Amino acid sequence: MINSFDPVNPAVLDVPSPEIANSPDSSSGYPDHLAALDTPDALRDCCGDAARDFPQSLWVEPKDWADKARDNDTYHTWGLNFVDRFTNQNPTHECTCHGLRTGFEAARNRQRGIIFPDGPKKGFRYPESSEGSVWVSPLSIYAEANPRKIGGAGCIQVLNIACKRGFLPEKIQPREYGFKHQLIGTTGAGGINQSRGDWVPVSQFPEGWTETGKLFLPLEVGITTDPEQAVCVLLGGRTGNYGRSGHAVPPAFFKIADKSVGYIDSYDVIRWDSWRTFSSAVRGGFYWIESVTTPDDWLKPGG
Amino acid sequence: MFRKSLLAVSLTAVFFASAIFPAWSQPPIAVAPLLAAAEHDRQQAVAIKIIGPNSAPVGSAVILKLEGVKLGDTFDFFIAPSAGQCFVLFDKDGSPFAVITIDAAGVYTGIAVRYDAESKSIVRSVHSVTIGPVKPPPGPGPDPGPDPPPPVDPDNKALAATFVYEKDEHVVPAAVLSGLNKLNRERKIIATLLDDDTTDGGGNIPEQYKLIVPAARAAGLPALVVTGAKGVIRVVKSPTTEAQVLEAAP
Repeated sequence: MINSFDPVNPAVLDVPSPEIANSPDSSSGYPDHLAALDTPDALRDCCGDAARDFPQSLWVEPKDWADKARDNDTYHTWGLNFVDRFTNQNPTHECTCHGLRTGFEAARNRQRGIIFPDGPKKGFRYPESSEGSVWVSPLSIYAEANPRKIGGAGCIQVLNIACKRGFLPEKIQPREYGFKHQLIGTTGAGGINQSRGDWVPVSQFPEGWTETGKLFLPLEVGITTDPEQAVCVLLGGRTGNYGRSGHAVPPAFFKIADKSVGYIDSYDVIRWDSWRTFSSAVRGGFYWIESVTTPDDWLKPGG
Repeated sequence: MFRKSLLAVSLTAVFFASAIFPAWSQPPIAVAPLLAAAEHDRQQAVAIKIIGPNSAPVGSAVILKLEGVKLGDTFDFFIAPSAGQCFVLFDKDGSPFAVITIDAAGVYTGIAVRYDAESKSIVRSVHSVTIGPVKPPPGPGPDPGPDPPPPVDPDNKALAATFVYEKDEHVVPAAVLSGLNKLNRERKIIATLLDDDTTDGGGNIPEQYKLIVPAARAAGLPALVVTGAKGVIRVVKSPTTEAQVLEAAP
């Protein structure tokens, strides 16, 4: 259970993901030359009609942050509480796509209305996931963002692809939904809740795949460069995305005690950014998925 | 030479320590209570003192002074269970005080927390306030209460509950989300959240919400719409608590 009033051990703040050392060039997939293209204006443009500015309704005065955090602790309504699985990209360059899928699934599960009190747990599957949670494939985006496999992708690249044509569902799902088109989740380690396998170029995606892709589209994407607004987004139970220090991550809760930020790292683990790292990263561009396409029947999401 | 000197120093230290602390001739565990007491005393010195009344009428402003806070300190104050309003304000001289107003009778605990950098822990202090019973208002008689809910049609039991809102204007209360979660988990009702603009993959209102969205809009957003096999059972405008969500679905 989350207690946002307990500070994080300073020794684990801002620790780079050690798994990154396993990957080519010791990179998780967010190199500097692509990060430089992720300007706030470019972030806004890449979403097309889905782009939204920070809504005033989400604003919480800093003096009220503690109250809102307390509510989230009590009712388990942090962004983390709408994420029912980890993914594992080790040792690939898929980080931007794993972060994107986390934000997408969190928004979708929030709409579905099922809370996972402990957030994602390594090697564990929540029975409630079978009530409508759909696991989308990061590879279904990365294969188009970087056909060369190595070298990573930028946040605007992958967000643009997702907003244009959506995700494909993974081959592992919490329930047999009868999807017409599915794809492995990653060429990395995967896990019990994420399928893995060999590289699949877009040209070898299942025939007719775009029909399924449009069922899993971000509908509204919020963007801000203001750290206090970004905190309000987290307090509002959303899961964000930003890139920093060569890695793109999805922050999903906020610690009132020391203003540190927890993110769901794509290596089966929660890690922590300090307020300084968070603020700096947000100023470079922070986005969150506010809403996604909704099925006609939650138990038949493939139509 | 070095080792002999070190041994001499060690033995000397133990000799003097034994003289000063005879308990050291006992097992070292006897020192632990002294250290724990010293740490307790230090934390008590760090703890914020909450000073104020122990009882107050319902709805009145209760002022609690928070002593021991210096400029730049990291602290927080809140009441449990969460209710009414609670503000932390500052005097002209920078001294903080809390003002709480609660509209329901009961015993509430004011909790002040301070982050102690030395022990890297939270130091808490508490103060209980009993909020007095509600006095019945003068008037023609007791409030007859809200109209009873309509009888439940056994052929139209709740199958779904949808909280419809406009995200640019409305905040979804955390308690409402929790209520939806409980309906999902405990009563197997499909309880969901729907932003007014949400569509399916074809850009249309999803089939499952075609009846619900107009009902919610007619009532005024935000609204919780409960539906069964025969259609809309109930529409609750602007629910804010978990109980309101649970009671809406018979």
